[in-house]
Amino acid sequence: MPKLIFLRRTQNEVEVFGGEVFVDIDGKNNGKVSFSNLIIDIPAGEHTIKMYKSHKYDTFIGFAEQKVVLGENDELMVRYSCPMTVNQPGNIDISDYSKDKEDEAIIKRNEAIRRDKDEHEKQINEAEAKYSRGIIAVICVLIIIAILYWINISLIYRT
Amino acid sequence: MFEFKRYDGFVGSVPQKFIDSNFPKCPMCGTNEPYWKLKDKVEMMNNRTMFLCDKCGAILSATTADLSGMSKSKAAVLFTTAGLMNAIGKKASGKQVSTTYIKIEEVGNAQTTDIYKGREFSVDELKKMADTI
Repeated sequence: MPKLIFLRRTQNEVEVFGGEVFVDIDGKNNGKVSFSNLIIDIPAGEHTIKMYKSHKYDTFIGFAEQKVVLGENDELMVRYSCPMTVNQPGNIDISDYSKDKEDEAIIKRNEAIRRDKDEHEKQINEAEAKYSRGIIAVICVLIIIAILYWINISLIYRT
Repeated sequence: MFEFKRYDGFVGSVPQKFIDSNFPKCPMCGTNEPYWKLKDKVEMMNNRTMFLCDKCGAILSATTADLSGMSKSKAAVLFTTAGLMNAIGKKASGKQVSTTYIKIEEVGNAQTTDIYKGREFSVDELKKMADTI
């Protein structure tokens, strides 16, 4: 029987995007994609896949819909990408399934999210470190100004 | 200035006009009617003015020195404390002194991630971000 394999979410992805990803096939909810692949046996023929993500206040965002035609022994891998803003749609990518493709897709996604997350954290940490250095520089300048002012006053009173 | 509010009169007109003219579109939600509201924030290095998007709740901020143009004028850097402190702080932070930087304090409700929170962008970079939404 044909299969649809909905690629699992990674820990990094859940940390960044949060929420839960739902799958509807032909207008009916068929479950959620979590940390393991969601495998659905489905009759051959044309089907409509819709995926979306839960957001705050019990709302849903990132709707993406795609029609797919399945042959008798087809195994298709379905990959969902979450949107960056609430008014953007999600993205569904459908391809033939193989274990190698699955592993490659997971590794690639993990790497991409981890890289962006690390860069973001690095920028924040650098900004904080530079801010501290800036404060120290300003304090040093103020101290030097205060010392010079004190020397000036001392010289005035001495004369 | 304890609550966010608009400054459509003479008082507060400089930062209000700055945000209204530079960001007619919110870079976090993309709305063309952000109806920016302002509030002051006191920090050690600089005072900042915070800008709240009325639609998504995103909060941006910029230093008073940048908003008033003290960072752009060499005379202001030499003869005003705010300009001098701003220049020293920027130099120590590796930033360009004459560029206005906007910090994203809160990303608001339209963003699905917090990846932009706490980051600083130049005005041009943030404008490009607004155009992509």
